[in-house]
Amino acid sequence: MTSIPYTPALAPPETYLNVSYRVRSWLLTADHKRIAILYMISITLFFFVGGAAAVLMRLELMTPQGDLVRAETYNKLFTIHGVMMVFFFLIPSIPAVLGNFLVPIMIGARDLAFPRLNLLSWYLYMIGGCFALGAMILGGVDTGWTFYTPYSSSFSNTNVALTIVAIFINGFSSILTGLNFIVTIHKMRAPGMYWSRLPLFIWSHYATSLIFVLATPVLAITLVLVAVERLLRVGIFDPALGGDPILFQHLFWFYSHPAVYIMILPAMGVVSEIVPCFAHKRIFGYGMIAFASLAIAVLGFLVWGHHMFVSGQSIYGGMIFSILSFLVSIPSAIKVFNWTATLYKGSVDLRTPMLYALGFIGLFTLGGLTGLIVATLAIDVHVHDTYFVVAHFHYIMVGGAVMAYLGGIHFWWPKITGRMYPEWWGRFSAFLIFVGFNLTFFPQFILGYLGMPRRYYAYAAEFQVLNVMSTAGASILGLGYLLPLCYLIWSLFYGKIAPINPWGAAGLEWQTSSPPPTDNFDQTPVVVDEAYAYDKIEVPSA
Amino acid sequence: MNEHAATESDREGVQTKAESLRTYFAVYAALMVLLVLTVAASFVDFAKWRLAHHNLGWLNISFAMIIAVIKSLLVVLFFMHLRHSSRLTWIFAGAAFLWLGILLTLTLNDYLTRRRPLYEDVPDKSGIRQPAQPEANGRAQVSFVPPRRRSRLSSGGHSCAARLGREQRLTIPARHAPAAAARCPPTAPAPAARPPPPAARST
Amino acid sequence: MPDDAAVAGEVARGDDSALTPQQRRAQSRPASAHLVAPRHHRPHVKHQFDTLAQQHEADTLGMWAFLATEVLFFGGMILCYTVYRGVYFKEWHNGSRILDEFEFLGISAGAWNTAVLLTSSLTVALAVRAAQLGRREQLIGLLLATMALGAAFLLIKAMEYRNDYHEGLVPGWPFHPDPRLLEPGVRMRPFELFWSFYFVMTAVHALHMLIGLGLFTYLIVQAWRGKLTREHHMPVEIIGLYWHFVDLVWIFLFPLLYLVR
Repeated sequence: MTSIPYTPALAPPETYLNVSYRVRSWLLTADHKRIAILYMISITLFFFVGGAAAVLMRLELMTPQGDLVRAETYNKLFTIHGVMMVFFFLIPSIPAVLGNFLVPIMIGARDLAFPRLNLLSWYLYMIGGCFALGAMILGGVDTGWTFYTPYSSSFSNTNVALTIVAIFINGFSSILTGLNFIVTIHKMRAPGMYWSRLPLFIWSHYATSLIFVLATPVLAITLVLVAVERLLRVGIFDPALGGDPILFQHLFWFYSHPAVYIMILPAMGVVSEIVPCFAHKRIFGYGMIAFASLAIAVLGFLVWGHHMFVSGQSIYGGMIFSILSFLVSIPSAIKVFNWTATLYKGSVDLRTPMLYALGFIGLFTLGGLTGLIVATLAIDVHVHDTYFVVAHFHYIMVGGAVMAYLGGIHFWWPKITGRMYPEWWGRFSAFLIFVGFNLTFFPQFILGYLGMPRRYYAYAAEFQVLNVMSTAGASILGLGYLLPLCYLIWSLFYGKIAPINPWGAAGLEWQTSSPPPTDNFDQTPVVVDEAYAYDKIEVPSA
Repeated sequence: MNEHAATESDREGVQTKAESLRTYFAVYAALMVLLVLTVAASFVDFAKWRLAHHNLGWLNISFAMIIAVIKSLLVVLFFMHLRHSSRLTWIFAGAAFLWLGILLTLTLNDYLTRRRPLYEDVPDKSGIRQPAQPEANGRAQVSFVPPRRRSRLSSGGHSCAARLGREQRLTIPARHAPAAAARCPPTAPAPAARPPPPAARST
Repeated sequence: MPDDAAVAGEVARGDDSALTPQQRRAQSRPASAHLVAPRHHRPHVKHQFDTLAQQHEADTLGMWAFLATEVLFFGGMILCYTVYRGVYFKEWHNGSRILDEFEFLGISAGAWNTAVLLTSSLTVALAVRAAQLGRREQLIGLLLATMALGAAFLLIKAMEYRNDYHEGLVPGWPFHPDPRLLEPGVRMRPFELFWSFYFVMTAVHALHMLIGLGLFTYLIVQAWRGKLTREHHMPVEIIGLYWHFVDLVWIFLFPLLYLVR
């Protein structure tokens, strides 16, 4: 046996993962890819905290009586669920994990424009998260994630102030992420990466970043005002002190309605990447999808009053908001039609990411259509604050945003980690999540229409059958979420080594190695075609 | 001292956007004149002016805001160099104010079309608090007489003030009803002097 | 089936004969871009940028985007102000009149503060110019002047606060103004609400001023050490933009709070 001399070429190529293994190199990194990994780990933590609260709520709702938890505990549970899921999972989920990882790579940049700001936004997120967890451990909050005044500012005896601080800090994290993306997309595109060639993922993240930058500060100042009223007993919103609580709701929803689009727009971006790749076809209506992203971002700012139809705002104001709300359905429908048209006559490959994307399209459509129902002023008076609304927004947020997040994680997992996930388990858990999700939330549409109000720990006995169905679905859903956690971690160690372009995709991110080197590309890429040139892709013959 | 730095550029082709000194001082002088103008205008009480029986009180705020807008434009265009900035910067500067406009317009669209403006019906009978009155912890002893009629602010809530017979009105949104019930244990029937507020419809 | 590590080694060497057709297809790169342009690095440019111009444009755009957030941040309070002012006009007029009465040399403190802040805006603009032209001493002098003006603003503000405190006009502290200050028909709650917003808005503005003063301190240290050169003057420009914005906010707060007529 002759010994083979060691040559540098045989050593594994240097990637962003193996460049250093020290803890310091992770915690003080300015590399957008490592920050994305930090985000991924932390949002998974918060997702399971919020999920645990959901499980307890569903268990409580198995029986009509309040027998598992007390009313106060239930109030705290749904608040924790809302705060964790909205502010610490859904809003940062796709932008801060997939966006952070992919935005610079997709436009051919070495990093985001402000790498240290990016790290700062992760630290702000973690500090905010620790405050929120602290508030939870010290006794919880019972206001709901909406912090409606005057309950939050004058009456609640729970840790409202601490939670407000948490969300305020987290808001700055969002603002910095959005700002970073906007500047990066404007100023750091590789040669040849014109706006007309930008991947739709980038377009949707651009739209999302606009919302981050323009909406989040309003939430920040609103929460400051609530905290001032609560801590200093100074009149701001409390009617007993001369204020108007509806003004709080205007301010709050000016942020929080666009925040819904913060959750769904990046998800649409992910689906716009997955669908053409697995249909092996150019995306249908590229321009319209890109335009629809911006249209949703702008129109999303004009509709917030539809959360306040029964709050006491003027009827005329309600009518205006109702009409404007219908407008949002136009760009949303454009997107759904275009994805469907992309599938038409494509050779559809039902891999795991595609299953999630197809699930997204179906569930988002259902959520969007029920959105039209609740946007109708007259019907909303009937279904307001019932489980119908709960089911509606869970179809958008869980059926839409979370499905797309998981789809995106599977799609780019080979690029992120350099390992393939186990395909069979991937499909199995996608199926499980789809079934579990529908079993959980479809009965809630019926429950809401029958009049079961949300945010109560007990209910009338005739609602029990549907509630038991919902709880059964939630347990399937929970299993469906645990499975990817297990097999994805498994794949880090035992998964197959991922090639550069496992799906034969056309995007720029598939040009670089898996996982990419710290500078993303060895040379500056010069873009000569759009990211959906599936008709031109050359499959090398064996 | 009148050199134009606007055309200077450094080695890497970076345009510096400095204005001439004269421009800066001229803008500063204009800002100061506008400041004097706005203060002077505030001494004129247009509310006392009449034009064909129309009250001209709105002229005060209009003058003040127009001058503020001019001042801010001067600062943005000259001091912040927006004049020489790219179109993109213009868009971002404009977008901020456009979005502020959205926030104001759609919210005022609600307030200006309410049947009654906020708190028009609140009789603040306590009027002026007596300064001589010792106060232990600020607000606790303040008496605030609630409205007889139900304010539009409190539509759709349970008023537990009626049950407690307290002077301070506590209006709890409907969704917090269980918590409100916990805080307001059923007590003796409310005194006749303070009947529970009638339904919102009774306006 | 060759094991994964071996395949990775083959790929790293550019030898793909060990690959199956599927693997070879997976190794192919999409044709949408060529990796051609070489990267070169320049001394003043951060690693993520290609040219200094790109870096400057990114810095400027980033600051403007941040200022857009700041507009909306103050915008939330301006909305509250607008609504309450419309509804409680009489009370807010009364509060504004009291506010405007606190004066030095016959001119209200608010007007003095506006003048001070506008002057500081001028010194900042001149400081940016000095930085662009690489004049270090001039830059340090102008920055110091700006900081002095900023401190003067905060001092005047603090004297106003002190006066308001003595008049019992701080809400919840407790709020106990002299009844003679109130015009007939003025209700206490809405009157107090004016002072709530006066204090919140000016305090948030003052906080921004304090942050600005901290940033100027940093700039002076940098300039002192000779770190701010003609090529590297962007920090002055960026922080200058921030300071002008703080000035801009006050340009609106002054008529809104002091000149309600």
